[in-house]
This record gives sequence, structure tokens and C-alpha cells, in this order.
Amino acid sequence: MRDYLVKRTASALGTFALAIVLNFFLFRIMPGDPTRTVIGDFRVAPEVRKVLIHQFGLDQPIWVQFILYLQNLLVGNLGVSFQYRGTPVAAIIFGRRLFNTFILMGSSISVALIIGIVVGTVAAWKRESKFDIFTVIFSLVTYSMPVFWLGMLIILVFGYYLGSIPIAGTISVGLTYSNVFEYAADYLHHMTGPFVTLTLSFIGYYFLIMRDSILDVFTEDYMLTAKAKGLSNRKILFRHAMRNATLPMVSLVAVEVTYLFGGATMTETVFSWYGIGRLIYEAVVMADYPVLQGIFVVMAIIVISANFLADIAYALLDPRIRY
Amino acid sequence: MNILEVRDLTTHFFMQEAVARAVENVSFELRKGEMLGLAGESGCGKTTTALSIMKLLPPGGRILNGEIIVDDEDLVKKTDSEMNAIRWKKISIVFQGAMNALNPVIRVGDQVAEAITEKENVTRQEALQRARSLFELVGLDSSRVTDYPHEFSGGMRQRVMIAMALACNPSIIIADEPVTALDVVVQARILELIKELQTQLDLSVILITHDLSVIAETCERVAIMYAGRIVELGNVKDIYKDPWHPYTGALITAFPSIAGPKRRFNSVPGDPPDLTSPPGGCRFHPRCPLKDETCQEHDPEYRNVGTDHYVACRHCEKFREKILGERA
Amino acid sequence: MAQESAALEIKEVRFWVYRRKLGDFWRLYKRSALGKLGLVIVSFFVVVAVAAPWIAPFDPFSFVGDPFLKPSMTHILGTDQVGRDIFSRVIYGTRISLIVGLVASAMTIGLGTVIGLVSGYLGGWIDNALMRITDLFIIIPALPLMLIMAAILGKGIMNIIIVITVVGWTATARMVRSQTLSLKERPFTEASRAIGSTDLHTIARHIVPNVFPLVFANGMIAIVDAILSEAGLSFLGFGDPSAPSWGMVLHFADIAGATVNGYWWYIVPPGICIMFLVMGFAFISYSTDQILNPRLRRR
Repeated sequence: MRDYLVKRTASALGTFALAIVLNFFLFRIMPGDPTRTVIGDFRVAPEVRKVLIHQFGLDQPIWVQFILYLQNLLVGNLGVSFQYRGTPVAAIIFGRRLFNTFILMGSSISVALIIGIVVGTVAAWKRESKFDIFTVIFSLVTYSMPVFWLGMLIILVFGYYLGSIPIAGTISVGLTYSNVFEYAADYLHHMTGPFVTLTLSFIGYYFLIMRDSILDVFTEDYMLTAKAKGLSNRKILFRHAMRNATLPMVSLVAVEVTYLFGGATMTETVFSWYGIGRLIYEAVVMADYPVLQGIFVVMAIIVISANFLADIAYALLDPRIRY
Repeated sequence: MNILEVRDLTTHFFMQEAVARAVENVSFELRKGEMLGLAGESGCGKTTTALSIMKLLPPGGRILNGEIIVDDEDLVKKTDSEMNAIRWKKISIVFQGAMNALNPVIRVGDQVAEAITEKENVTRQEALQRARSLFELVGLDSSRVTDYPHEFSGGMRQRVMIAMALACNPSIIIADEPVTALDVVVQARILELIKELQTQLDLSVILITHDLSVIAETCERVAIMYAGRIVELGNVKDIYKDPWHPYTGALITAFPSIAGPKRRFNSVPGDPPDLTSPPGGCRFHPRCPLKDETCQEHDPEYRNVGTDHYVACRHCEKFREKILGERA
Repeated sequence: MAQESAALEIKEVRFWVYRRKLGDFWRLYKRSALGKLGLVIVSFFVVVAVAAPWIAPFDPFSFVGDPFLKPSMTHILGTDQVGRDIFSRVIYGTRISLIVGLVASAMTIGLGTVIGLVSGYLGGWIDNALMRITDLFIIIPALPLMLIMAAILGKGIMNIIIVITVVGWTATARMVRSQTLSLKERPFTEASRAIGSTDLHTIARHIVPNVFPLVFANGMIAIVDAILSEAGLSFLGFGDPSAPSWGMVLHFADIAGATVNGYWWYIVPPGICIMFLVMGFAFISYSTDQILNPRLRRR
């Protein structure tokens, strides 16, 4: 186990190092004025420009810039945003935005996973039944829908026609709340649209993978042993099949965090949810490169950590790996 | 007395493109306290017979005809949930100890205990305690109930499977190729164990294998199967010394013996038939040196040729003459 | 003389063996309902794309009516915010969405296959380095990375294709690499090297044909990913307005406030087209996978 941990940690750190390097060079390949990397496409006075060039060492050779970049990273200095008039990038990211995205992403992936696992198991058991065919088709359809379009449809149906959900924002503008519950209620009300969109966009995939996994497990010998012991079908399904089939799902979740960022970006943009995803979009549109660089680093940390944790979890759950 | 009777069992597999006639008109009985061998090449229907008895056929498999009588009840007529009560309690089965016959993510003790708690009203602790004593019974260290399957060697995993099969005190055990995957030394030990347990616990066992030497060591009677049918049934001593069916004869001579004169190594020419379109009449006739036209068109007669000795062959006397002639 | 005719014979035999394998595949494929349905759907869109000038009632770029007209007999899907016929735009959009999807996925698969082959065949530090890079690109979220690259490179169809390729080659690379690794150990590879073939020859003649079926199945997924990625990027505004794909039409719908004003005829059709095209390829991929993946056949 110890070896496994050490190897995984080294791997994670290595990947992170690569990510940092990629991040640096990605923004240096831009054509044109090198100051774009820190200043973006904004117009600044020449004196300010000179100061910034000096501060970020843009007149120095590239490897010096790289050292400066690493130094800044170590102290958590991710640069300064230009969209937001000089607010440190770190402050923009590590604030309400991250919180909002976590809540949205966390809840969607949890619900999608749970429903996907349970329904996938039942569908595999009742293979070729009406239930199975319906759920498979439903999953294929939602899987094929572009996330943003699904969001638009939800806004159209539930926001425009039914008026039951707000069509944008995280909280209602200009409202005052008498207590925290009212605030939470409003917040959750606003989260309904993006939450449903994101959950639906992932549920199909989890369902299909789980169903596949269970069908694979059905071909294993120990399933026959379990049936020979006279166990009830329910016990066989949930105690034997599910336990083994869920194992590959754990590694899957780690990979899914990666896709979740993409889905969240789209969803947050469509619903104007005040999170990191929308920040990416805004920064791209405004060419606020410091923010983008900062987000890249944060994203890398989150995703690499998620993968690392999933590896550990898998090792803990599968007794064959533990030694 | 007969503890299990199989009469005219016919099981077919319905696949996408064809139907495999895996078992046809198989009849035999298992007497109380005996070990009956079920022998034959791979694919001859031995395992299908075992799965039919336990009603554990894979999708596509169907029992079309026949009766399986245990305790005056016909298992063929039982529903799946009725069978659940019978499985493991009256009859249990020991599979080939392939890596995955035991669930790799559950402790072996729990796997044994779950069979007990499913059938009897005991707590999990009590069931685990029983599991521990079962482990000792089969020669395993009782502290190993908390280990996982991959921590055992092949032979020890087989012992676990045997312990598990005994968990609910069944009266009948079916052992399907219990030692095939093991090396010879371990094989001998496991066979010894099975034999011991049989006498100790007064079990009735059906031992399924393609290895005639295994049957010779452990069984009192044997049924030889070929292409889904029983071709010879009788006491092991009788059959091995004096086989009456050409196929049995070929099987026995296919084994070189250390004792006895050097002789030509005989194998049976040809291949076992495709069960989706088996030969008409006697299924062995394409490979049989004694065949004639009746063999091709009509099923062989099932004849009594001695005490408890049955042969499915029209020309068994001719075969006997040939053998006796060769020996002289 | 004899050598030449022998060589020709070998070529012929190879051809027929290949034909028969293809025939076997097709025979199995025809059995699957989903597979046939997928082919029908994809063919439908291909036909629409090719026949667009004859099917579309109007030119997709001309202003042919008042803006924001509701669906009618002349304008089946109404008009957009500057008076262009939406139905025609959706029909012409088939071309862009299909072409970009196919080109981007072809490049993705091409790049992935090359990297996978090199990595698997040469092994050693090259393999290690390439795999590290692959891992990195797998981990970094695709859409954000694509957006960042789009921000750097700018708008346009070519840039979208480049961005999709750079982000998407990893899946193919991994798969091709593991296939190559296992094929490397097979006897025919050793034999080929033993008679002195160059590495390139060995790869081309022996490894590539065996990798091809898997790559094909994987290719369908790559097409699906490419179509959805292009739609997403166009929706966010990075497409080329002069080559409007379905994603771009939805982008224009969004900025025209179609969602908040309830113009469902502007929103629903382009999305349905994307959905069905994706499903078509997904069905084909699923059926192909069922046939080529031996493990699945057991079930």
C-alpha cells in the first residue's frame, strides 16, 4: 500500500509540474505583443505598460520569466486581472465563484452518480425489458444532446412557459432576506435550472457505464456460485454484482471531474450562474489572460487531486490492490 | 436406497442460430452414501446435467423433459424461488476452483456465512463461528475466515469451496471437476479430503470429471457420458476391468498404465459431434468400429448386462468378444 | 516470372481475405437494429448536406423577410433577428457541422494513431515522455482548454478544428498504443523484423491493419466528440459567421434572446439536428463495438 501511495503521489506531482509548464508556454505562443499575456487586449497608458513589463520581466529572456512565474506561483500570486480593474486573480477565483461552482458541480455529480448506479443496476437485471429499453434510450438521447441546448430547453420550458424557475443568476437581484433560510431558498431556486441541466447531461453516461459494468459482472463465475447458494435475486444483485461493478465507476468519477468542468462552464454560461465556469467564458471573451492562467492552475490542482483521491479510494475498496 | 433419481432428463440450449441438444434421455440414480462418478470428454453434457439438477441453467438452457426426484419431489417442476429453498440445503455444488468462483471483494468467511444466514435463523456471529469450524473440518486454519479469495492458493481455494458447500448440511453434493485445475499432489489431497468428508458426514456425492483415474480412486459406481447420453453405467471395478461399450473401452485404453505390458497408445479417432446437429441413431456411430446401418438410424438399446451394469449399445457382445480375443 | 505471379497471387489472396473479413463484419452488422438505424440517420444528414442548394428554399445569408417572423408557409421556421430564413440556415448548417465534425475527428484520429504507434512501437523514454504528455491532456478539462486556446488563436473554423484536434487525440493515442504493444509481441512482428524489414515497413504492413478495426470503432466516438465540441465552441461565439453551423445558429438565437422570448422554432430545430446526428454516429459506434470487442460477444 505504501508503495502504491508513493508512486501515485509522485505521478500526481509530476503531472502537476507538467501542467504548470504547459500553462506558462501556452500563453507565450500568442502572436504579437508579448505584453498581451499580462495585460490582455486592454489599452493602458505607456508608463503603466512599462511598469508592468518590468514587474513581470517581459523584457527578459524566457527562462527568467519562467523563474519569475514559478516564484509568483509559490506565493500564490496569480497575477492581476484587467477585467476587474486590478483585482488579484487569486481573489477573484477563490471567492464566491469557487463556492458556487462547487455547490453546483458537487450536487450534480452526486445525484447523477447515485441515480445512474441504481437505475443502471436495475436495468441490467431486467435486461431487454421495457424498463431497460426506455432507460437506455433516455440515456442515449440525453447523452447526445449538447449541454447548452439542454439548458436552453429547460429555460424555455420551465422559465418561459411555466415560469417556475428563474432564467438567470445565482440570486435574485435587489432582494433583501430576513433570515438565512430565505436566502438559501432563493439560492436553491436559482440553482434548479443549472442543476437539472448538469445532472441530466451526465446521468446518461453513468447509467450506460454502470449497466455495462453489471452485465460484465454477470458473466463472472461467482455470480453462478451465489445463485447456487440459493440467495434471493435481490441479494445477488445488490450484494455481489453491485459491489464489483461499482469498482470501475470509482476511477470513472475522477475522469468525470474533468468533463464536469466543461459541462459546468457551458451550464454556468447559459444560466449566468456566478461560478468559475462562467468566469472562464467571461475571461475568454474579454481576453483577460491573467485570469485564464490562474484558472488553468486551479483547474489542474482540482482535477489532479480528484484523480489522486480516486486512486486512493479505489485501492481502499478493492482488496486485491491493498497489498 | 436412492437419494436422487434422474429419469429421462433432456436439456437443450436455444441459441441465436441453432439449438444444442446438450443432454438427452439421461437416467441414473444416486444411492445414499455412495460416490457416483459422471465421466466423459469435455462438452459431453456432464456439467449441463449438474446444472439441470440444480436448475442453474444459463439463459437459453431449458429442461424439455424428464424428472429429477429428491425426497419424493420432482425438481423439474419447481419454480425458481422454490428451488432457492432447496439449493444448498439439500443439494450443494462445488465448482472448479477457478479464480472467480468466489467473489473477490468479499471475505471468504462472510461468503460461507451468508449461505448459512440465508437459510437458517442464526446471527451473523453464529454463522461465522460455524464457518470457522467448517474451515477446520476441511483442513484450513480457522483464523483465515477474514481473508480474501486472492490470498489463497488454488488448492486452498478449493477447500474453501468445499467448506462453503457443507455450510447448510446438505445430503447431496455435486462436485464438478473439483480437482482439474490443481497439480497432481494437491489433487490427491483434495480427493482424500472429499472421500473423508463423505464417510464422516454420510454424504452422497456425484463426482464429475473427464479424468478416469480420479473416478477410479474415489467412486463406487460410474456413468460414462458421450454427446449428451449415458453409454455405460455400472460399478467402477466392473467397468474398468471389463468395459462393454466401445467408447468406454477406448477411454480406458487411452490411459497408459505403469503396470502391465507396453502397448500401443490408443486414442479414439474422430471428434465429438456438434451438438446442434448430432448424428442420427447412436451418437457414437461415426467413430465406432462396430457400426452398421441400424446404428445410424435407431437409438441404441439400453441393456442390462450384469448386476447394476447397463450399456447403450447394440453390439456390446461383439465388442466384448473382440476384447477378450485381444487379451487372449 | 514465377516470382512475379506468386507475388500477384499473394496480393489477390490478401484482397479476398480482407474482402471476406469485411463481408463477415457487414453480415454481423446488418443484424443489429441500432447499427442500421445509425447508418440511416447519418446517411440522411449526408444527403441533406449534399442536396442543400436544392432543398433549402432561401439563401442562408440573404435577408429575405422581416426579422423575427413566426413559422409560416413561406418560412417554415420563421426568420432570425436580421430577417434570414431559419429553415434554410439549418439545412445549410448540416454541411458545416458534418464537415467540421468529420475533418476534426479525422485529424484527431490521425494524430492519435501516429502518437500511439510511435509510443507503443518504440517504447523506452519516448514512450514515457509521450504518455506523460498524454496523461496531462487527458486530465486537463477539454472545454476550458479549448476555450483558452480559442482565446489565444482567435475565432474561425480552422482554429476550431485545430483546437478540437489538440485536445482530443489522447483517447485514440492510448488505445492505439496498447494495441501496438500487444501486437509487438506477436510472432508475425518478430518474423517481419527477422527478415530485415525496416521499422516503418513493419508498422505499415503488419501493425496498422490490425489496429485499424479498433481505430474505426473509436473513430465514431471521435466524430461524436468533434460534433459536440464544435457546436459548443460555436455557441459560445468562436465559430465563423460566414460558415454557420448548427451551433452558430444557436449562438445567434441566444444573443437574439430567443430563450427568454420563447422563440422555440429558433431553438429546437438546430438542437434536434445536433442530437440526431450524434445519436446516429453513437449507434454506429455501439454496434461496431459489439462486433469487434470479443469480450462483449460473450454476453
